Amino acid sequence: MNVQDDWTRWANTWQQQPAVDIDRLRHRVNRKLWRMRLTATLELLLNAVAVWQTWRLIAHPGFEWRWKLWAAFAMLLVLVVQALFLLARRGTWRAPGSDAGDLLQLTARRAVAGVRLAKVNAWSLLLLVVVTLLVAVPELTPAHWQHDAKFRSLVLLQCALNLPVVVFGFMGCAWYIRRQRRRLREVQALLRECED
Amino acid sequence: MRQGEFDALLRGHAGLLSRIAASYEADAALRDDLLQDIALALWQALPRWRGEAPLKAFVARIAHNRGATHVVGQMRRSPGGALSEQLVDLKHGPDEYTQQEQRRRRLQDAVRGLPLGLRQAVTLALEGFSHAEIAAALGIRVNNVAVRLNRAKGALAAALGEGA
Repeated sequence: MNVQDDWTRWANTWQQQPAVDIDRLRHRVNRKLWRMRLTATLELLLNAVAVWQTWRLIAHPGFEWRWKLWAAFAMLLVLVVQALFLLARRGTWRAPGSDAGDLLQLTARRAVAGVRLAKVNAWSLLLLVVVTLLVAVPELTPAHWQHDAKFRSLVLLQCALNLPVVVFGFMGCAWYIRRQRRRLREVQALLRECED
Repeated sequence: MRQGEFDALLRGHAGLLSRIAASYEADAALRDDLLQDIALALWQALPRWRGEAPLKAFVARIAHNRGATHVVGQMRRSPGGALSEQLVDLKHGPDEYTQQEQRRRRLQDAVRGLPLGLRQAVTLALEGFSHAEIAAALGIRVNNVAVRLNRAKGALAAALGEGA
């Protein structure tokens, strides 16, 4: 059997594969498009709420200057982190070309950027925790909360709410870094396959 | 792009898209996810299509690019190259349909077992693309296409137990 016969035979077999149900696919694509729009809107709303709450803390006359300073620092930190995110994402928006190699290179760059972003996240979280504890030191002395049951409950509530967030935040960053590094190794293996 | 045009495009290339997705993913549920990603990528990319290449080649290129990124992360799950036991067991199927199904699945498995560069060239060749069209779709030289197809043929024949 000659080479052309092999290809023709394989092509005949190959093209007998069943085709996808297009109506079902179209519904899935529409649903995903709506989910993407909803997620983007939700992220925007959450950011707006966070900025509004921080601003309220700064502007409220009932809070001590230390907490106003903390709120200003938190807002500044968010801006700095966002700027670092943009910096780390340089060159990761679009592939230089449109073949598989270019796309894999882009995936590799995104994985490297992902590692950087996770590190920025972890360090900024650590910084925020340290600054928050420093600012909160006067309130955390036993003399301050021992005889005030209401304040003690508030401190406990804050610890119960924020401690898991901080712990899961660090764990999440560590998991994401490992995942991106593994992804990078896989992309590099595929790039070698492409070059073969 | 209007919804109607996009529907028509999906319908016109349903077979091509399904087969390219099958060359990257054996699991039916994950293949559905991949097809959804390919359709989304097409939705985003089609406004940029200016007719410089045939629509079929453009669609194939987008599908392959999405497929290549889908492979990242799936590498640990599928060893690639080996035929599944289920397919080997089907060798003694009772009728012609079963045998045909078995041949089709064996070919799918063999194609999925090829390295990425060879796999992309092979799927386009099996779709009836010329060497020049494959070169244009994959962004490589025509000579390179011939080399890849030649190497792929030997690997396919070996995987299918046909001998090169």
